[in-house]
Amino acid sequence: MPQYILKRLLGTLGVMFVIAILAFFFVHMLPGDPVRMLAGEDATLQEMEIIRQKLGLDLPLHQQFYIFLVNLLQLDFGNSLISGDPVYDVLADRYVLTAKLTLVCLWFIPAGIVLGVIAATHKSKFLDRACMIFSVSGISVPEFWLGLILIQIFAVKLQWFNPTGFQSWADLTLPAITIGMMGTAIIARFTRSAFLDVLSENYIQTARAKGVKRFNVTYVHALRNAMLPIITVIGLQIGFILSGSIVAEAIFGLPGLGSLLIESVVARDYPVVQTLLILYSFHFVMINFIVDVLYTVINPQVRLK
Amino acid sequence: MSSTTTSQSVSPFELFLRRFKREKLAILAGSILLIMVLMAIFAPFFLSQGLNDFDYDKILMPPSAENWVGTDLYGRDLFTRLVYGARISLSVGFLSVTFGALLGSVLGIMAAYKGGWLDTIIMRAADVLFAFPSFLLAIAIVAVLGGGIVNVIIAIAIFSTPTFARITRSSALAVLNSQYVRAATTMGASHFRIMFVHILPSTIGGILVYFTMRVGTSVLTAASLSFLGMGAQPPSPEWGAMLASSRDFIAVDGYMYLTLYPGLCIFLTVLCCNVLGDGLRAALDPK
Repeated sequence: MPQYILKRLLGTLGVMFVIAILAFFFVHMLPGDPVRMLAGEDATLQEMEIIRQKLGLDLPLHQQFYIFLVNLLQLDFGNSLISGDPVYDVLADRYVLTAKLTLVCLWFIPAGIVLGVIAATHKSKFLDRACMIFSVSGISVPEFWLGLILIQIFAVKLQWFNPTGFQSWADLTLPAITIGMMGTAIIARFTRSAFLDVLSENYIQTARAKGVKRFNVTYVHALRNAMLPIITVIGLQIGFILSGSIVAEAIFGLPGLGSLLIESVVARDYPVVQTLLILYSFHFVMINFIVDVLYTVINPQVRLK
Repeated sequence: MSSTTTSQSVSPFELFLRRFKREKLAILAGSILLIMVLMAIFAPFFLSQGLNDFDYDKILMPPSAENWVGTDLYGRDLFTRLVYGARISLSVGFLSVTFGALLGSVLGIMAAYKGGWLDTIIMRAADVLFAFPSFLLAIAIVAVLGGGIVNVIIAIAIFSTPTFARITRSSALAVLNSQYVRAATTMGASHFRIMFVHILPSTIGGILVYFTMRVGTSVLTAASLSFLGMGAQPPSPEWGAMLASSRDFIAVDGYMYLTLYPGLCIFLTVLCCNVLGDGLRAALDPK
């Protein structure tokens, strides 16, 4: 087990290294000269040369990359081109809100599983159809549109919530519904098919035959075995919450990482964009790593391979 | 294979058609998509108004018999704009996935057929692209290339490529050692011929299913990017851009129709693609 985790951890580090390389070249691929952008339109060549040296852009590429990596490990991401503040400080302010939002959005996990189980245990009946119609709609609905409609109905018309901004946890209700919808729909689909596979197994028939209660058969015997494929999908979906929050934060005017990313892309604030790309992929990769480890806890067979 | 219709000697394609005919919902979804495409192509022939016909006497009119889904801030008929918007949204969805599918399936087949270091490089590159959530990747690419509809197509094509490569690779591997591929090799067929005449057709099924669903996702992604101001810009009737301009009115009660209909168009397109894709999958791979 520790050996397996170590192996996966090394793989994860490898991916992170490649991501760091990509993020490094990201800034070098950008159209235009970053020095010119920093120095402004009417800077002299001399002034530009000073800035170039200050940023270390006159060094050979491999040295630049080494410095970039060392800074990265020390959480020094450079300064924002717009505000001039260290990127770290800019991010820290926004991080907490996105973390809260992600936490609230996890409602999609139980909701999706319950819907999927209901659909599977009522296969081909009305409840199954209803759950699956909900599911395919949830996968197809444009998130930003759903958000706008929810604002118009629940914030503008009924005035139950504030349309935008963040003052209290209640303000995260509509964003959480918006972001979680897709995840719920996808988990429901996967749970249904994983469950149907398990329900036809012999040990389920045996449990039923020996008189185990219906609820116990469903939630103790079947669910546990159906969980394996579901966990993978849950992991992926948590990753997608991160990108889902980009759009939702923009709609609901939440000052989190997502709206920061959009502001920075539009304003061409590249150090911030670069750091956000690294941060987002770091989360995504770590979630995948945790899912893989969880997998071995649930299914010991994986470890043996 | 003979063309008699006994149950043993039906071609896989006929079998697929027979099964697909039973997927009523998928046929309905496909028909709706077809109607949307036809409407988009022949828009000027049946619409009485032009895309940018301003009418300042009819600003922000709610849906009526004359303007089915209302008018916008400049008195332009929204239905007209939605139909013209379909031209942009549908072609962005279709083109981007087509590029992604072409590139991905060529890479996937090459990875499977050549194996070795080429396989490793292609599949590791795919893994790295998978390490980014796809929407984030699209934003990153647009950040490098700049906004605009062409760059959105490129961005979506790039992040669609690795999945197509994976799907094609795995179905190509499945037939790589089959007798007919070995027979072709023995008869001296060129690598190119083996890859694209003998192996490619057997991978089409998986590609087709994913292609259909991916068109929906791409319409959605393109609209999201336009909505965020990174794709098509507001005078354009692209659905996401229309939604973006409707945002100015969301805080006022009574203008929901501005938001409702462009979103419904996106929703309907994506829904139909997903249902059609499900139906194709069921017909290709019945369990």
